[in-house]
Amino acid sequence: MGEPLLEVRHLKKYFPTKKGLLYAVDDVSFSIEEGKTLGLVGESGCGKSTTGRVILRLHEATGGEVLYRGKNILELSSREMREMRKKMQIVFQDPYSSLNPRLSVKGLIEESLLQQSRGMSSAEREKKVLEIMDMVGLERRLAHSYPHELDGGRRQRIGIARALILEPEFVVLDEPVSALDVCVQAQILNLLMDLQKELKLTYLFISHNLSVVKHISDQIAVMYLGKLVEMADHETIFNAPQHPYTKALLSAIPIPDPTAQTDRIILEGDVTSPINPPPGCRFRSRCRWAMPECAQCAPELMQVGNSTVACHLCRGEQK
Amino acid sequence: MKDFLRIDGLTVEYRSGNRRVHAVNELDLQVGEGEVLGFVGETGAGKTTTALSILRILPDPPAKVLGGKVIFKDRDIFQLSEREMRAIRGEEIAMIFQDPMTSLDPVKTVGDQICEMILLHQHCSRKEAWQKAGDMLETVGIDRERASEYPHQFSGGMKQRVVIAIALSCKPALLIADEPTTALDVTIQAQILELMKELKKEYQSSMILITHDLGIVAEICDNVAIMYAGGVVEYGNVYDIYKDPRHPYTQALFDSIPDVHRIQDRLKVITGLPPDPTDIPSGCPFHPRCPHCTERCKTEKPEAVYLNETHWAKCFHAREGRNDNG
Repeated sequence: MGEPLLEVRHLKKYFPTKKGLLYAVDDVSFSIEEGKTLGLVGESGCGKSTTGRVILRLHEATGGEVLYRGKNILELSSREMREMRKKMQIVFQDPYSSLNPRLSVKGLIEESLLQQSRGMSSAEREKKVLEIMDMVGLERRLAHSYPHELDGGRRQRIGIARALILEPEFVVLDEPVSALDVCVQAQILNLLMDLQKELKLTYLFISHNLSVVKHISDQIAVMYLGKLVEMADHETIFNAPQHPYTKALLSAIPIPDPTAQTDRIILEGDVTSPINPPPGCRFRSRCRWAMPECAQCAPELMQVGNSTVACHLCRGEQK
Repeated sequence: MKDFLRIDGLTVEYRSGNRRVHAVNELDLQVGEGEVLGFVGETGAGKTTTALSILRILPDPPAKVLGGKVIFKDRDIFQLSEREMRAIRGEEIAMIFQDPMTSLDPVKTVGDQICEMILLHQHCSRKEAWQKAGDMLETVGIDRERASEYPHQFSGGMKQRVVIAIALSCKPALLIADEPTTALDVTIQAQILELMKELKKEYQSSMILITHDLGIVAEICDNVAIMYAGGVVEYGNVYDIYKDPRHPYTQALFDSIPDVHRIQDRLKVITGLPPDPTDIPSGCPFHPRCPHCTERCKTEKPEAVYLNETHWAKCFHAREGRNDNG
């Protein structure tokens, strides 16, 4: 077991809205070992992107701690945080809207160098930009192209190059392949896995696509309405899911095999609103096994076999 | 039965200035009565353009149908008058668009939007139409009391149900669904798929399902057409296509999806990019990316090679066994 590079403890992020507090991230704890990938899965609005952003302090947390190599980065001054950001980077979902259309590929990749490594000569910068372009598989001839001239896969490679040029240790990947076609998606996933091996990167991989997450992650955490409901290594999650939500999520994936028999758990209704959620388990309104107990108190995370689960049903099986 | 909908040599291009985008190139396709056809391909393969041509709602200009025929129930769609066409749209052929958030009118109640369709095509009073709209909502699993609510009061999955209710309100003989679940979450997608399966049983209308998700196709389609560069490269029933794909592009497509039920080290990828539709390669359009490419592929356009009565692939090497090392 390696040392955790990043440890998140009781992280909370509430947004004030007209109707009341929106519990986007509510008491989330996990840790990621150095060089490993944690996959964070959930439906839209479950708070997975917010979690990624709060860790990088793109949103300020309402409460909790984010320990990076044992140091709580939520307490750093903005100047110290600036230094910290060299080590922690993010790749955004939509390569169409996250790149400044008026900068060339070189300008886009160089931008973070200009911010973070002042005093570097322009020749040095150029060398670095070209190196990173090779690394992420962008042809050098594209250095003077603009984002609108490129396809989604290449744009996402720019996003990755921008994040990696500062030689970070930890990268938040916020749905990096969701906007891409399957074939391009496969290329980018392979690239991310190669880069991780080569540069010993630690990833927080945020996605709604379970098959993609399974492919790339060592550990998987499932979120529902701001709470972690289950966390385990990727094999356990897929072979022996414990939480009813994880089970439903898994069974909802269409299998590309016409002979496969699906025993699908169809969830009723939609995700309930994260604004002023009622007490008790947040999943209970859609859970087919909900008990009276579920309405009274929220289940705590507990160890069941190889997984950490928050469900009253699993208590009997707790070790 | 086979001639319920037949597309022969459909060719569509988009013109902008001097650029000509060859969106659909000599596409042939058939849909039988009561059949569900999956239409699979990457972005820009021409799936949506084909669907819009069937309904004759291509934006013209820039789009231009250069050739081909669409025969629906023995009528040539391109020869009909606009008036005749209006009677077909919605009543006989209906379409579900990808994004439920933008295909509903935000200032009309959902009940009114369903009524609109019914009143347009059926002779009935407003009251009857409202009654029918309520029935339709119940069919898709929404309480009829919600008919007087506005789209913004519904969630994404519910909106898509409303869109489906509108499309089905005149019991169309052919339903074209363009990526009906792409904008939705997986658990909601599962609900919609389940609903579509039920409706397929109940209404027995034919359906063209446009998607890039091979999982969804496996679940509800009878036949599959794989699109590449504006043409169908392989066609067959789902069992043949999934068990024994013969076109190298189809094979590559299957290899590039991460499979939840298998441990894979690396995904196989297709080298290169989808062809530029302004400049489609000569010969077989897939040849620059194909691992089995030979000289012949570069110059000569492959015809359909029939592997059995219904399964064909447009590849010179379709009869050869699958070569996994390539």
